[in-house]
Amino acid sequence: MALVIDGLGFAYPGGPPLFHDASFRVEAGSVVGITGPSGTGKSTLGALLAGDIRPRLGGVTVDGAPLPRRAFRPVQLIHQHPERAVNRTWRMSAVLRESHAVPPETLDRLGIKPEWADRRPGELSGGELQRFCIARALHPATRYLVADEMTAMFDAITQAAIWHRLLEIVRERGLGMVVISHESALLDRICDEQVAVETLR
Amino acid sequence: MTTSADRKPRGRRDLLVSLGVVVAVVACVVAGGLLLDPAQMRPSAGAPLSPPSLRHLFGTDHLGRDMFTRTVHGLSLSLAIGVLTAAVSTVISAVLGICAALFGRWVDGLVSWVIDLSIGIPHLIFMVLLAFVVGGGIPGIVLGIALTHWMSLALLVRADVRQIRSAEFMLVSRGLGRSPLFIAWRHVTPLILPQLLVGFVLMFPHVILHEAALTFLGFGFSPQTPAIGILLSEGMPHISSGMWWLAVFPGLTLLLVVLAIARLGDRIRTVLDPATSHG
Repeated sequence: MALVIDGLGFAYPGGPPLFHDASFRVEAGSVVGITGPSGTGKSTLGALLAGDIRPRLGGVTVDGAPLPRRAFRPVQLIHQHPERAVNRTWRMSAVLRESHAVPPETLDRLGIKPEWADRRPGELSGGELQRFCIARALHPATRYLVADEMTAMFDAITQAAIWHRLLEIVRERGLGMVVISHESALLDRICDEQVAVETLR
Repeated sequence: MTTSADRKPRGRRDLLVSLGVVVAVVACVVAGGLLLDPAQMRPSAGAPLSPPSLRHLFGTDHLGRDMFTRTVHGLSLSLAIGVLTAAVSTVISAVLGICAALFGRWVDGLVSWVIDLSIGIPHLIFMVLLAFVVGGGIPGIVLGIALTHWMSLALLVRADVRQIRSAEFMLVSRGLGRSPLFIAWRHVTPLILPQLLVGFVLMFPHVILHEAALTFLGFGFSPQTPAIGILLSEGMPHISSGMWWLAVFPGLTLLLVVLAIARLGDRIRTVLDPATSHG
């Protein structure tokens, strides 16, 4: 039971190779950090893990099966900018429904107030929106989460509150987690293992 | 700061004024179409070729038909055909524009080819051809016009959707297993709705003028139908003999309707377009 990256190679069209023969694995129930300076391909790696872009070579398998192209993907990516990850014309209740009927206790644990459901993204703060994005990613069929600089935009208190509650749920469900961040203090605190993105190039 | 704060309410106020004018004109035409006595359009309703008077505001034609009643009926026919054809055209633009931008290179190539082809054929000739093939009447006019006015809006929609398509919420939706159709309908359509509304209103004047052009050239309706184009073409031979009212009034009212709606479209665009409303 693991998210396995095996011999992965990727380059943007016309660009130099970004990853070459990259391999690592994320066991279910463990938290793996990806570190590295800006512009070294951390976010691209996140998109590759979630299946948003396809590798040139090698592949990503989830518990032995390749990532599906046209169905629900058991690897869910949580983006850095929640305001870009929701359609601004939708109400928040529709944003959640697009994924699944999120149980009220999950909403409560993530600190989402029931009255926010009727609002549109423009009427919520970034931290509030990001909680919705997390709730959306916690689909019953989700096996792995990839958090790409998930809390980099928020103050320390919001950051701590979000991570505390998410990791609790992740541990309960036995999910695997990939945390992409440039904050070593955060990674040192929450990760079982860290991979420097430079070693994958 | 002050300029943008000043500009926005003015844009809104201009829009409301324009909207009021269009609503008033349309209400007059519709009410006239319903209330005016159709008997006035029969031959010998008045003396033939009498100039404008209180009894016949726009005069009468060579058969003694009241030109005011005929003009109002012609305008309401123009408006009805305008709404129908502009709506059909807008839907075609939206569907093709979204498909071209979302559904891969192959579909994009096909749609772009159809757009290039349709733009390449001279407008009026294309319309006449289509109206002729369908066989005249209202279906011929509607199809002929609807199938020749969608191209530029489709290009705008395609460009808009190409910007939306790489948005993160679209990727999330794919990752949640949502189908391309769901994404096109639920994610993309609400975002391009303002563009479609402006496109629809701005298409309206074109469509009405082309309807008048087609009927003027004799495609579409039977000669007794009071369409503006038919009124104008009937009036043409009489202008040189001094019967100015036969062409001037139908032409002038058509111009007024078209200008009012075109102005409304421009003002909706000014208010909705972020570049001009918040700039």
